[in-house]
This record gives sequence, structure tokens and C-alpha cells, in this order.
Amino acid sequence: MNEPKPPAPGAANRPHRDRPDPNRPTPNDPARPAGAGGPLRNQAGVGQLRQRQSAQPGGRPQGQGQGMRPQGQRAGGQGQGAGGQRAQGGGQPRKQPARRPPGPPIRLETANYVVRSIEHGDVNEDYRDWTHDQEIMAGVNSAPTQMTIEDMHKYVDRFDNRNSFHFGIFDKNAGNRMIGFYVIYRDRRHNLAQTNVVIGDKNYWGKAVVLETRSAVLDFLFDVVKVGKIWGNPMVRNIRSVFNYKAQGFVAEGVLRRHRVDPDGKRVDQVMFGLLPEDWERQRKILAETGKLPQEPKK
Amino acid sequence: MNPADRARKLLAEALEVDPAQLPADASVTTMQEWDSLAHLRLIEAMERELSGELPPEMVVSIGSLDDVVRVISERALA
Repeated sequence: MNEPKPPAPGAANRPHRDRPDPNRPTPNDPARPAGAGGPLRNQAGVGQLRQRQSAQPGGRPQGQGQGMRPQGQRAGGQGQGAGGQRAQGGGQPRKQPARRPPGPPIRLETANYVVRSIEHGDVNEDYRDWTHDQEIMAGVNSAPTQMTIEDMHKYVDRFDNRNSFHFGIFDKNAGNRMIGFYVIYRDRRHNLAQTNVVIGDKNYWGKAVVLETRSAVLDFLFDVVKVGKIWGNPMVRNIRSVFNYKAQGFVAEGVLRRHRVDPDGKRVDQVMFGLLPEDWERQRKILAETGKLPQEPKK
Repeated sequence: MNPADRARKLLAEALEVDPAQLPADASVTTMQEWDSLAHLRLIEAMERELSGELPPEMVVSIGSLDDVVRVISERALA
């Protein structure tokens, strides 16, 4: 969400949201891991994913030069770059590798929410309006966008459910209405995941939605996708986002001074948070023991 | 008031609990009352109490009662 265009709905999070990769060509995108085990995980969804991953060459990093970028992948990015240049120089056209089809949709479940891959049918006026909302977008250090429903369908299509994920957050206690979303990218070379989250419905701010739902996402990324680390980089003054990282055991690895420019043109500090599998394993136990992670639906 | 007492008072007000109910090991992980909005209230109260915006390294370091005591102590020495 840091770049002005195209205004993607997924890059930032508001009071609860993480930072997009500053180097990413698309604006507004987060990434984050999840694991297995525990009541937060949807067994059916995880099983599906395991099947999917076993069918692909390993969920392993595949030597792409620069992490994973949905746009590049969509355009047949793997195998392009250096390979493509060699083919040109050698005079013989090199056959482009077939584009790998997207993985099946992912579905995770917590006590109160379903977190699942967003489909075209989920893109509605509420979702569109979140990206137009100055207050929501300010939380992710982005200016409001002018995306249309059609723009958002194209945006949704960019995620491959293998190395990039766009998850909606649906409230089970409110007719499965979507209240926010995640954007997750996996860097295959280094096997990292970055997540961003936006809680679009302001009635849910301060309701621990991120703490509950991101726990499922962390489980998924660590236990199923098997990433080696998850990271996020909110603005330092996005206090609620900083809180969420700390509550989930992320370690502040460094402050990037005046590293970003906010929508008003002011330079602002950013913080790098990282989470290793052992950090999450330890923190998850503590959260379960202290009851901060809901195990039962809200009354 | 010493830093420990100031920290306890500020945190209790932010969490909207009785200071006497604050456990010594209070943290973002252990206390139900310590949610994102309470955290925001805490940082704002600390900055009012300490007369200025906290440095970014301090802001991101606060996650427990001990951290609040430490920041207040360090700011008092600055």
C-alpha cells in the first residue's frame, strides 16, 4: 500500500495492518505465515493445501531471483529474466515454461471467523469503499484509491494461492459477512512470508480480530506452507498495528528511520518485525494459556 | 512518585483496571484488558506524562509493565 498506483486493496492495514514491501511494484501488499495445529486451523482446508503442496515441486524455494511477485509469476515470470535473455542471445527462441495454474482456494477457521481466499463474488461495495476511505487507508500509510469493482476483480486474480494469497475475514456471527482482508506474499528464494491486514469494518476495530485471525494465518504459513520466517513492517506510529505484532510474539528487529513518506508528505519511521517458528510456537502456547486467543465463539 | 509507581498508575489507567489488580508480570500477552486500544491509550498517556513523543525505539519496545518502568526511568535520566 505504499505506492500510489495501482491502488491495491491489500497492501496496508489500518489500526490492524502490516506493511507492504517497499520494493514491490504493486501498492499495498502484506504477507505472513501460518501453521498447523490447534483449534484455529481448519482441518479440511489444511488437508487440501497439503495435497496441493505435495503435488507441486515441494513448496520449496525455486531459485527465482527476486522472491515472489504475483504479477511476474502471472506473466510467466519464472524462467524469464536471465533465461529469456540467454535465449535471445543464442538465436534460438527458448520455449517459455507453462505457467503453473493457481492452487486451490484456502480456507482457515477460528472461533469467530473464517479466513479464506477471496473470490470475485466477495468483492462488493463495502470492500471497494474501504479502499476509498481516508481513515482506513491512512492506517496503512496510503492515500485513498479510486478502484472500481472491475479493478478489484483483476486484483483478486493476481493471487495464485501458492506464493501469494488474498484472504477475506468473514464473521461467522454476522452471517459470514466480510469485515477485512489479508494480503500475503511468500518470497520463495528465502522462504519468507510477509503479511498485511486491513480491518475495513470500523465496528471491528479494537475487537482483537487480528490477534485471532492472524494466529490462524501464522499457523498456516509455518505449518503448511513451511516458511522459515514471517515479517511485517508497520509504521512506528501505527500503534495498534505495532501492538498486534508484539502480542503475537514478533520481535522488533530494527527501526528504519524516516523510511517512508506518509500520504501528507511527511517522512515517518518504520519498524521491522520478524517472527521465527520457535517464537510463534512459544507465543501461541502463552496466548492459549492466558485465554487471549478465543477458543470458543463469542456469545 | 518513583518510576515503578508512575508506570503502574499509567498502565492501570490505560487498561481501565485498579492499579492493585495489575500483576507484576503484566504484559500484552497475559492481560485480556491490554488490547490495541488500551495500548494506544498507554502510549498517549506516557507521552503526556513524559512531555513529548517517545523515540521510535521506545515505542516499539513497550509490551509489559516492566517495559513501561524502564522507559519512564530512561526518560527521567535523559
